[in-house]
Amino acid sequence: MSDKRSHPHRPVAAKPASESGTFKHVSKGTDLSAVLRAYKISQADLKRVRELVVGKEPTHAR
Amino acid sequence: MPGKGRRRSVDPAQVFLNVPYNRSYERTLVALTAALVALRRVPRLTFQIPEGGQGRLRRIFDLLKSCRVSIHDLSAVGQPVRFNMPFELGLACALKEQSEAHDFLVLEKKPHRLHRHLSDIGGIDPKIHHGTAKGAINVVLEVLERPEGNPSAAQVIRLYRRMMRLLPVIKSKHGNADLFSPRVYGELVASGWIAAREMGLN
Repeated sequence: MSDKRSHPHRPVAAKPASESGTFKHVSKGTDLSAVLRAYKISQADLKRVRELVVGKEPTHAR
Repeated sequence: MPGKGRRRSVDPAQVFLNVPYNRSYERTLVALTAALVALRRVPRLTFQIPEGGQGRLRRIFDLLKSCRVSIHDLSAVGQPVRFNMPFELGLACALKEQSEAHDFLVLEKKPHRLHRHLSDIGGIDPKIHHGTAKGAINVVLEVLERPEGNPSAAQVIRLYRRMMRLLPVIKSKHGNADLFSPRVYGELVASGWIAAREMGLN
């Protein structure tokens, strides 16, 4: 009886996609409120962060 | 197995990041974060969980379970030796065995090195980022996708550079705390989100 494990031409099964690290995960994602919840960022902190990124909103003096 | 049998909803937008918490890794973490933000995903890290105390392992596993995808960077092989990263990869492997509702990605800096340190992982090919921001961004864009298509790597690199410029300002607001604290990292993610919106990425 032949030993299949030592057969030189034994076919090798293809690895499942996720096992080989080549999966593709599609998601529409979420919005900023999920970040605020995850990191417990208050509205006051968000205002400061927004100003850091886009600058302060101009005040219109008369 | 920690958390076995407990029901917890899986959030497809959350991505668990299992990475080294040291200064030399900051740029790579910001690059991974920029890519996730551009894809409207929320990165989750264990420094959001209080250090020590009973139940920490359970809380780490629960956080991992709540994420549809986890990314494990095993490129830190020098001193000091840390076992948290391979341990958390083991948790992700167990979770994947238990449930189809989890996928994980393994990252490395150099090709062919991981299998020497972790032979049990045979059959799982790590993605190589070469220790560069561009490499880290490319691997994320390769495995995660938005239904309407992904932004280009060049667009995400512009977002990464903008976040790198914001980082010192955010750190200084928090007494020059390092990136690996929930306050600093959380505000970096939020600022990246706002910047990405402004750049028309998300």
